[in-house]
Amino acid sequence: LTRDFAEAEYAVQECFVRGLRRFDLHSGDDMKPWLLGILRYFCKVELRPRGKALAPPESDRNEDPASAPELVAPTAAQVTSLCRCDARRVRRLIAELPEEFREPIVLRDIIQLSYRDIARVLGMSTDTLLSQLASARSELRARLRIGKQAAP
Amino acid sequence: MNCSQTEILIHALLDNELDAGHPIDVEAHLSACAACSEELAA
Repeated sequence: LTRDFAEAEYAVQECFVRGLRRFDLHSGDDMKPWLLGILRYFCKVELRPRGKALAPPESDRNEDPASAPELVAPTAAQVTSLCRCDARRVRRLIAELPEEFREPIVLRDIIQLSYRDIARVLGMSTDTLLSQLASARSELRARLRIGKQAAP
Repeated sequence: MNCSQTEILIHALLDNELDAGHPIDVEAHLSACAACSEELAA
């Protein structure tokens, strides 16, 4: 939501403070989607209008082809390292997605909320979420393919 | 169920988030449609 570590920390602290202050409004369901709703509102309505443009996500410095490990009979440690490299790349591509695609992917594939909870956090119907998530994953897959084709 | 509906519902199927009844519809379409089966495999 912020693409800035310090601002993200501030937003999370503020979210917990507000959550504690308004705990009487919590209905007793799972707390995670409720807190994420507060966090999202704070970032979108209060943090962003302060004028700071979203910074582009940090580039993945480990993608330098010169530093890539050789793909000959990789050891288990090398396989783990390659998986980490791929995971970093996927995370960077997710961070670069437009917000309407990034949010459902982060909430489902990283935070692992249920569709019902994601729809509640994002304020949309589950049918809209389904279609949004499908479009978001298609876009991410297309960007992954482009990245692989561009790689030497 | 058509291909565009299935394309969307494949994600819910993979996430185990399809309502009762829908998995059968999606799987029936997948078994009859090569394009959607490829989409699922991808």
